[in-house]
Amino acid sequence: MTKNTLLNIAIIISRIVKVLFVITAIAITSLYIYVQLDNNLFAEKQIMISKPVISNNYFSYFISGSETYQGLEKGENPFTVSQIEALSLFIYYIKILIVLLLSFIALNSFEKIILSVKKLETFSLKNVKRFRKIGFCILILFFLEGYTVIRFEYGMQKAIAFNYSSLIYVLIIFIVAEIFKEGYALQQENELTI
Amino acid sequence: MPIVVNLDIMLVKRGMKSKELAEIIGITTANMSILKSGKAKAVRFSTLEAICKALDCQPSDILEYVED
Repeated sequence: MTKNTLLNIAIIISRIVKVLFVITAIAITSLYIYVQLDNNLFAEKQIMISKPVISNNYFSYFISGSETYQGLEKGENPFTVSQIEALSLFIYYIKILIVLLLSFIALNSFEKIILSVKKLETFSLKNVKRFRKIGFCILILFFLEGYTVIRFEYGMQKAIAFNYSSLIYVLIIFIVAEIFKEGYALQQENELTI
Repeated sequence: MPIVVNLDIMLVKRGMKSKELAEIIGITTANMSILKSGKAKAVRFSTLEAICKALDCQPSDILEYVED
């Protein structure tokens, strides 16, 4: 199936998105390092965890809130980049990197599955494992993306935004993995029938 | 598996090589070795018919039930 257009388009798209993930990771790392070195650039930039677009989704759940601590001078905005606690910023940076890494792993497995379909090795135990890997990645992403906390020197912002539709995707992916397992057993039986 | 394939004995009796038999009955040598090694999960009636015809024997000459 070397000339299947759909498969080729899927492979090209997944490769492009993989490159975009890498570029994003590098950009975020550079930005993080830059903020550490030169605090003044975004110092007065205000941060507000906004309501995500995805909350329009029927299956999602969203709570956001902010609170300020005592000791703040009057008229001063507690939610600026310069006021973020170093540890909180680091955790947020690591979280974004993990999200990118998991997305990359899931996409990589998806690409390998498509390549195996092209080679007519669709029903193999490797593909069952790859589907499960994708399922686990999306499951971890569901929890990681759901909870965000940013601590400031004089305040805190948090958002809980679970997009439950991704749980349905996880379920579908795990079922597909089981289907592939069944397909592998059938193929084995077919191959060993002389 | 308690079903033993005695194809080797029959081939020796008929003085035929397994490669020749594979060519006559139209299966690959890889499948022939699967059959001889006992890894096969099933044998088609058409394959069995072709083997019996080529070796001039009965299915019982090739297949044997041995209790585990």
